Amino acid sequence: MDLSRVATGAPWEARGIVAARVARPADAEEVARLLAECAEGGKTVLPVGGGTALASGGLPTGACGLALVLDGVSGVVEHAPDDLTLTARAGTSFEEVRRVVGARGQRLPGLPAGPGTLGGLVASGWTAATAREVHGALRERVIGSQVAESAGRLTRSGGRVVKNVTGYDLHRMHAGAGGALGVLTELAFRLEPLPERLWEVSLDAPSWSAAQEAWLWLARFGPETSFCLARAGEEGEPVLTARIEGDEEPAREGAAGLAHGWGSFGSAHARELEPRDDGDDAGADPVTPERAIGPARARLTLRTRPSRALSLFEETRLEVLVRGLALDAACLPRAGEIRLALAGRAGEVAAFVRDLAAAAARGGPAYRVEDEWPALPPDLPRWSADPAALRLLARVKRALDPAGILRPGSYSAVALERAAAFFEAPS
Amino acid sequence: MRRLTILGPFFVPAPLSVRFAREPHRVTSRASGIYHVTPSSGPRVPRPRREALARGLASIVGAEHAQWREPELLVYDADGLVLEKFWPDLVALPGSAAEVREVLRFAAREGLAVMARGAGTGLCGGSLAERGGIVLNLARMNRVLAIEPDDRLAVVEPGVVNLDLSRAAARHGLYYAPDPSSQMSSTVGGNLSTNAGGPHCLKYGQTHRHVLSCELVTADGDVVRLGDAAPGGPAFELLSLVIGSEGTLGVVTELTVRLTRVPETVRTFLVSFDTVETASRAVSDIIAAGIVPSALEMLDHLTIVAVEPYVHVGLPLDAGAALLIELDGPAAGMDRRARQIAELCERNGGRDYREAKDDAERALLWKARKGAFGAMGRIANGFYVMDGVVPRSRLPETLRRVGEICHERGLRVANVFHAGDGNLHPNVLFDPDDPDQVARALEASHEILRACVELGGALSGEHGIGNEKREMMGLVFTPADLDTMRAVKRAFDPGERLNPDKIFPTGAAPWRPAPLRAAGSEAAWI
Repeated sequence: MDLSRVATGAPWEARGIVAARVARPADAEEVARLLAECAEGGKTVLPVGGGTALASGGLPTGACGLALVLDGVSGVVEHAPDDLTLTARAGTSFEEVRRVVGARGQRLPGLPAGPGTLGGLVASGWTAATAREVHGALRERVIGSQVAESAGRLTRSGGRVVKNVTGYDLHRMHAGAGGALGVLTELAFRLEPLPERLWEVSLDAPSWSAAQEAWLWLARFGPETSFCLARAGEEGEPVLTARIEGDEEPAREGAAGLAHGWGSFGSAHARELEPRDDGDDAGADPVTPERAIGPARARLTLRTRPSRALSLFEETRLEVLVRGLALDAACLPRAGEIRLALAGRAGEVAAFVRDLAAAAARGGPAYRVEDEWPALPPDLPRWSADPAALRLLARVKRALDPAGILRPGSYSAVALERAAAFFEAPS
Repeated sequence: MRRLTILGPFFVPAPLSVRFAREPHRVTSRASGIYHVTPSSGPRVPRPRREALARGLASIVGAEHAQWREPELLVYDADGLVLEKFWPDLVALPGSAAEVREVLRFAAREGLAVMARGAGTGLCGGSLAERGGIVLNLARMNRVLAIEPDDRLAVVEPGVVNLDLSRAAARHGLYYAPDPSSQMSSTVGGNLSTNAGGPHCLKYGQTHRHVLSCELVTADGDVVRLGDAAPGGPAFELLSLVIGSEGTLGVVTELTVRLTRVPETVRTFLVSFDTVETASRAVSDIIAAGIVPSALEMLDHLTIVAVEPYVHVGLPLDAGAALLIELDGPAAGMDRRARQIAELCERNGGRDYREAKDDAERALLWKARKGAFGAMGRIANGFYVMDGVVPRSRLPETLRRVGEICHERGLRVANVFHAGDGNLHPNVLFDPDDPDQVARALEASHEILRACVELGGALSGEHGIGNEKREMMGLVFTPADLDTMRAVKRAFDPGERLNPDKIFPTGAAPWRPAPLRAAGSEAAWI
């Protein structure tokens, strides 16, 4: 094909990643043809959606032959409101999705605000805090996909029906895979109706032990929340925020019951919010990298059992502060998740991540690097996993990307095997 | 209820002597060629060799758990798919992940296929030993290892029966949400392998939404842990691929599953309609109103005719369709939603609206739905149940096509289905003693699935592909799609020893024998 039509001669640069060329294909077929050419020429390819989560799971490293910018492969293919499904090309913007499905009182839970593409969202494995507990990870809503494979062919898995066990669920495997196993060109999702009502209940607790008690009360006796978030206030005091969504009466009664129950643990308040899509509220991404200022930065997610989350959150916050790193942090106890944005000198940030990795190797909490600047040392695994699982992943990567051209860096088979070796014998 | 006393040669349970004596059975159809129905044939590996292999297995799992004699193997020649029968050469009942690992290594050394098996209730022939080998019966690994109520999770072995897990969690006010109709006997490991659904997965989702992590033993005997205890992680991982892979990628030896809080209130309604179309419109209106029922099930006229004299639930025999609707959740606001549902049904011609007053009546209303398959024996000697899925909005059109396909072939069809998520279970009725009817039923089954695919759907909503539907995969996927799936399979299992001949087309004739169920069977898990 005539690459000049889609690939400019100029190099591409973003977040310090430099690609020799950039291509903006207009459709899936062009994506496939470009990949075939790169595979033949041995050129590495970085799939790029909106460019907002490029470092999710590790900043791509090494020479990059082609930045494959997919925002042109866009548009809603089908919104079937009666079936609560959406099929859209991978480059479709969040705004477009929200406009189309919102018009029919529906939503894709966890769709963030701001720029970005569906394919990038799914590939990065990002899931909004507000969608986490009730709606689960975004991958659970993906019901089908079309993928351009590294050898240059287009394949599908799943379909457009909400209940389907026909063939392997490769589409869920691609969620979180960073484009390393294939480039998503089309995605189908199961949607949800917008809730009638949305309430928020907040608790200012006098201590972290009181916050833990309040959380346990919620888990055992409280209403079903769509999301519960813990943060430290300005003085380090705990603040819990929970949301309840649903029909008018249960949402109202649930909020009133929670405010009453939490009243035993501190100062609790309930307020009604406008029910809307998740994107434009602060809970969608609870940590703000800008609050952690320093020459080197990293965003991390730690994962543990829900009942352990708040105590781990407190321990982690103290550890980060003792090390003199700047921090913004939030905890999602029901999801067992802690999100951190930290900053400091490069060596200190890397040392913290290295200690996390070593702890994970000894059975400590799981972690994942969501963003890094500048790049962390290459030998540092960007997420923790069972070594045998990482080796298996490397085999799958080699099977689906035999030329090893997709997503250079931490998602490569070599990096996966290196990570496996690290967790077998942490240095 | 009437039960058949004479079963066709390929309908279990046939007498042992008959099963041994049968020759391959051929059913000829002028319209569509030859259907080759495989009989029970005995193990492939000669007895002395089996005995020798069994000694090797016994050194791993103990002599009492290594089976090789014909009477021991006989019960493993089929699962819930009772048409095709293939004898394994050996059966191992491991008691731990370590034993599973050693059995898999043993199988690798001996070049034997391994088929993991739960309770054997699967409906797609997913555990058949088509090329012999070892059936790995995980029934002994049935311990609930931990229930963590504050984390709302349970750690279980794969052989735990689905309903037993909910019973174990009940004292904490929790339960395991996936509810395939086989849940009284099917296992959580088997449910994982097919990504099982059930009536309530409309609200709660299929098994993949409830498995947090698992331990998997690969074909080479590597033990791999996938996922972690925090629900629904975002990482680059393989757990979501393993769920629903029908035992072709590894053997799951431990699962951590999400538990769900028992709802405060459950409300159950049964409504009749004149036609399937009007009932379908009511379904669409309920969904469009933003209501998310926990279950939304439909029976058509022929099913009502079969089931009403059996369960005496009060369904009018002249009704064209009936909807079973269930809401669950907090009590607040439930009255309003119930009124809204009643209004939407009435607007679409719903009549005889009835709500269960208590749990006993709720169980009766559900019996109308769950007893439907058992009741088929009242109206036919044999039926073939299918599991197609279409977009919900295409249900009326699909059902018309299903009716036409059967009518053109002189067959009747009774439909019971999960209307809320477009998952159909047409039951093609036929006389198993009439070879021509059998042939027409098989042909109709193929055409019904073809119609589902043409209408934007797929081959299976919850039963799996297994051995039953593998040759039809080409209707849904291109050769390239299937090549990619095969490449993944080989990355896990280079020797293709784990549950071979499942999911992927083998290149056999597209007209393969299809599952035919003995009428009157209570064991149809739909």
